[in-house]
Amino acid sequence: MSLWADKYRPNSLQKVDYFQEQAQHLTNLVNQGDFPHLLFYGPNGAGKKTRILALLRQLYGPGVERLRTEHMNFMTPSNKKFEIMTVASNYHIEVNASDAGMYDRIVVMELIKTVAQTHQLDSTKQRHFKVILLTEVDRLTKEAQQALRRTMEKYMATCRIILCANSIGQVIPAIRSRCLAVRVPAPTHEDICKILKTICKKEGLTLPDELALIISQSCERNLRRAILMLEASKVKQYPFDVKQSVVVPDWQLYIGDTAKQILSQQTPGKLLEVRSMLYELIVHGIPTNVIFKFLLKELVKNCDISLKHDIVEIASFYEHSLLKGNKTMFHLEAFVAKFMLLYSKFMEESLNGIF
Amino acid sequence: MDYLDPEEEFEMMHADELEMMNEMDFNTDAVKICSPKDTRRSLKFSSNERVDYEGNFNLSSELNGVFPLSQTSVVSFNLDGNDENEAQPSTSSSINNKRYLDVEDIFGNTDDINFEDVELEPVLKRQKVNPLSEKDIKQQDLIKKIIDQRKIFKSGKRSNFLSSISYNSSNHTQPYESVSRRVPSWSFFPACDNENQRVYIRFRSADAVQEEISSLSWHTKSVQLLSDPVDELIARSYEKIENNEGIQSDVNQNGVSILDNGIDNTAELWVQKYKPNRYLDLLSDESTNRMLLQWLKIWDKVVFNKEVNKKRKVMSVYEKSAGNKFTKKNQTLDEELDENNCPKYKLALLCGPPGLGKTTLAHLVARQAGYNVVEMNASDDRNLTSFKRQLEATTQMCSVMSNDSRPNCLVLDEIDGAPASIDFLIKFATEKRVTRKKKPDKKEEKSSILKRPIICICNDVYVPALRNLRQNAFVLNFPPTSSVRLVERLMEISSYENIKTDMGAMTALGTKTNNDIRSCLSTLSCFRNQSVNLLHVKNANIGAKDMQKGLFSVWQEIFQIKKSCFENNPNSTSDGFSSHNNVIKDRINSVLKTVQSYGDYEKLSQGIFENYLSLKPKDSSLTNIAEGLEWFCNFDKTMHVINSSQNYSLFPYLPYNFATWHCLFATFTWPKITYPSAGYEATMRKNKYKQIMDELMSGIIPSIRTFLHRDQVLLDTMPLVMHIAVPNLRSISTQLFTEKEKEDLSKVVNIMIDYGLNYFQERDVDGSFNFVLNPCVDDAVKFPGLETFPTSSYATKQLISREIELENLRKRMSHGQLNNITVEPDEFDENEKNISTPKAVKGVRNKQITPNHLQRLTPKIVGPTKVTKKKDFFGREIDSPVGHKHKEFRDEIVKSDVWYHFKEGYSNAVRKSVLMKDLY
Repeated sequence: MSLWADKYRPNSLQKVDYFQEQAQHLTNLVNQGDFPHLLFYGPNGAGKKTRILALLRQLYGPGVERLRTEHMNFMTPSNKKFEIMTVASNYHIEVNASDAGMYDRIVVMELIKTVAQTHQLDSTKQRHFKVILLTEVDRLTKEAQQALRRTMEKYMATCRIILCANSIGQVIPAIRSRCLAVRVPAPTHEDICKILKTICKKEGLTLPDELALIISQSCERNLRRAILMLEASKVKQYPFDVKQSVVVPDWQLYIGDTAKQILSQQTPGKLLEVRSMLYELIVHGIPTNVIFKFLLKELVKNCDISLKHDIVEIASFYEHSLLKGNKTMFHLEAFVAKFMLLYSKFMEESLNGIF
Repeated sequence: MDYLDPEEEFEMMHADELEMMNEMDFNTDAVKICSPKDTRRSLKFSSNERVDYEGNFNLSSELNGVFPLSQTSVVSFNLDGNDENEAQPSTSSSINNKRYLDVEDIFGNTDDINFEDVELEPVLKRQKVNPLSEKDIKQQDLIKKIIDQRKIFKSGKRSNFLSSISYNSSNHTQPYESVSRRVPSWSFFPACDNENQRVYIRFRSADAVQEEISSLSWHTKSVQLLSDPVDELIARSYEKIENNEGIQSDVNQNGVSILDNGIDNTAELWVQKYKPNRYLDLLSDESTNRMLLQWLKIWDKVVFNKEVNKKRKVMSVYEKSAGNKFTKKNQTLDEELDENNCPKYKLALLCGPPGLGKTTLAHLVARQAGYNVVEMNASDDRNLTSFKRQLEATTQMCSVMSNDSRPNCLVLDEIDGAPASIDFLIKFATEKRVTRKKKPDKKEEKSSILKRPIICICNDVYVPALRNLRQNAFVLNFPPTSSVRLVERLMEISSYENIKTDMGAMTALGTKTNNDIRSCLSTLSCFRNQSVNLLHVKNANIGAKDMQKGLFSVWQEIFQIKKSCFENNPNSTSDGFSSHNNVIKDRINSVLKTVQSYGDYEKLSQGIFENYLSLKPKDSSLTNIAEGLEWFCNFDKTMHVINSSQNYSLFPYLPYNFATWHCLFATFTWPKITYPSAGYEATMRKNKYKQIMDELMSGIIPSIRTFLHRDQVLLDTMPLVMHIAVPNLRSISTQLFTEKEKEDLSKVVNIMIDYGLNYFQERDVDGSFNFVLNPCVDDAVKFPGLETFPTSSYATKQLISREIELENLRKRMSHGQLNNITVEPDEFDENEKNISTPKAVKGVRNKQITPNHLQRLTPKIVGPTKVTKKKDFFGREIDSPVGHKHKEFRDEIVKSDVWYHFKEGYSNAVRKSVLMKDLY
């Protein structure tokens, strides 16, 4: 626990740095002793997990912090065995079912059944239910989500399910309606600045306001990234300087380079070069939605306002088409080619306009 | 009569049916109940509708090309309702028809049920129940509608396309007012309807009708979805039917004569019949033929004991005229003999596509050279033992029984199908010499060398099974037969077989079958006793081989526009525009055909994707590329749907993507295509990095792992940790570190432990040692072309690595101590293997490690045993009976001053050497 991001994570609902009101609501919810299934959603680095764990701590006491990893084995109908890693305490178990890929339905069903079919023996001392924490629910297949809806109701007596997702767009309405949805929005820039300064104070460092602002602006309002960036900057250069460059993840720089390549020249040859760069990104496992998002952001930066609308449209079109397909490269390159076409056409027109 | 009574209604239907039956030539079966009077009346009524259908009949007759409608036909139509259909020659005249009907009346109605429209039956029945009470016009409308429907249905039965036309035309004629109840302004013909009211029917000139028809010909300007317009297809299908009928009749006519010939039916296949019997008759490439013959001649020395005359090659007359053409070829024959007077290559390998006459050549040449040919092919038993037996039998023995005393020559046909025997064959051919040298005295006969020529035949020389054979055999590649000679031969045969044909047709046949003699002949034999022209050959479905091409040639076809595509299709018209269309159509068709026959669309598409950018584009603008990529997306989506839902009905649509890519990317230049490997490499590397991430994820300690998932680790944590976990240390002894440096070090060590990272020593290629991160996350999050992560020096890494080990040790120990309260010493033993001085540590409660020489055995202070109850996952207490037993046991031991614990099976059970003086 020596990374600042881990070290200064609040471990109780009383200590959370922002959305205290929401935290208070959650505390009240837990203090009553019982609560419905919960669905936490919000962007990465907003503090969903922090809140969930704090909630569990509120519920069960510090025992939930004694975590262990367990490997659970499952068997598909075609007798293929696979393993899922879970993190569990005595009171809860956490599973990322989407790790199982297309077999996530089996994980969801089996896991909930095995956990929920056993009652707590001594319900006077403990809560009469356990908690199953399912992460990345938005990545579950539709079948798995369908399987979840019935089990959620059936085993309500013995377990509560806490779902965690980035967005509820991919969660089927049936599940959404069965849960109390808790939105954890990304912290504001002010929040981030404040937290960064608190951390620095605790570490005995001085952080200039400007640098805090720069970090908060370049971290996509992702608090974890902000803290890590702060720490990386500290390692790089301390005492802090206002003009100091902030350490940015490599992949982000690489996408920036790719965008530069695309903007520099719009020819088939260039497209080929860009392709190899895109391959590099895919190979490293950068999620395609992230590639699309950052590439679009970089590309749009230098575009005329009249072009922006079209570009955003094609980007969303090809991202959607990617989800319906399988070969990422086709769609990414199609987007790049379409952008090149639009961009070069626009440049030509504007040049003609000048002369 | 204001309304229709049920009887009339019924008759009306019958009248209608009759009409249809007439059309359908069901005259003999049609039976009527009604009286002639009724019939006439009802027909008058139905004439009402028939006028509406004027267009229908006109059109049908027009399309049948029998009679155009004239004015008189309309007149006669109304005068005599029965003879409504001029287009049908079967109902020749009205009088005849009437009489015929009268005759029919005698018989009962037995069959009409069959002609009833089943779907309309209930409606009709309902009408029959209460027609008297309902006089309103609605009823009539309904009846009319039913009749309309029936007509359409019936005519639809007759022919599908006619129905569609008639349907259209009936729609079109509605706005024209052809019938009026008032005296109209146009020329008319008066008539009575079924209610005895007068109606006036319009006279139309033949021209007007024609005009109307032509205006209705919907196909002229409509958009077409098919590759050819529908009417063309219909016309073609008719033509085909006619042709078939023609053939049928031909067969019928010729049936007798064929039977008379007798020989034709019983004779063998034409391929056998017209097999070349002499060397001169061979169709295959002359140089190849001679090369093989020459190779066989080299054997003369050892087989026939004749001196090979190197000057005199073959004693063929033909050869002299042909000259020494073959020497220029790169397939040169090494004529040197080895120590046994055998040729250098003992095997000859003939390879080439099917139907070029390889087998024929081998047989013929071997015979020519004076051998007795023994053939083994795929239909023979080809397991190793039988192959061995056969091989030895043929090469070392000679038939005694027959008079034929010629030596054997073994022809191994379709050798690529028997990989097991190939190895043996090679050993047999090459290694026999060696064995003989080794043991010259033993088994002289059995290890005798191969003294007979063996000719192997295969289709594809690059089959992996043939790799060894290729190196050990004289490889003869078969070039395609020259089409001139093929056509010559085909003409000869066709004249022999009484087939009327011309050169053009035969050339087309040759190109169609890729100069495959066998398939040419079998195609030709289908046309026996007929004339064959170009069109026949083009349209024949027979004779087209399975034209599967290699991967590269498929890609090439997609990327290259062939010049030969501009040859016109025989069906095409000659005007410029449509011929251009036809060229594209032909191109698309040929691409579709090639792609379909190849089949592996996934691989093909990958190849196109990876090559299209490196080829010279048609135009420098990106329009084509962007469109092509859209089709790539489309292809991918379709493929995904097929694979995820097993919906293979979508499969036929995939080749059209290739046709589009062909249209977008194809040029006239020769494309340089490389094998698509980027996609595969990317997948491999992706898996590698994924594995690294998996390893990392399983190494992270659970209390941190719970807050992270893979993407977050990859995107946020790891790239930044790479920057954080580099301590700025001087390379001096640890003792001399400043407070800050120590802090830095411990921080880095802690971070690395948290995330399960460590440095491992690894030897480089050049022999120097280096510390690498394990799991090698730096690889997984590093991108080329960017500045590398800050790295520490070798010494620092070493230091960190050691510290991590130590820290892990400490953690484990403190973990052990934590457990020590409840866990028995026995259990502790598990950790002992890794910990150097466990007992000492046990004694010392603080985390300091006492140096070995300072260690003392101290009695264990056993306080009141506080047993915290162990709980399982569900919070239940686990009562361990073992614990109690040991507790008592231990108490007893510890009471005494000196004790040791001996563990059976462990040599390290007693760690400390204790001197006797220490004990006292």
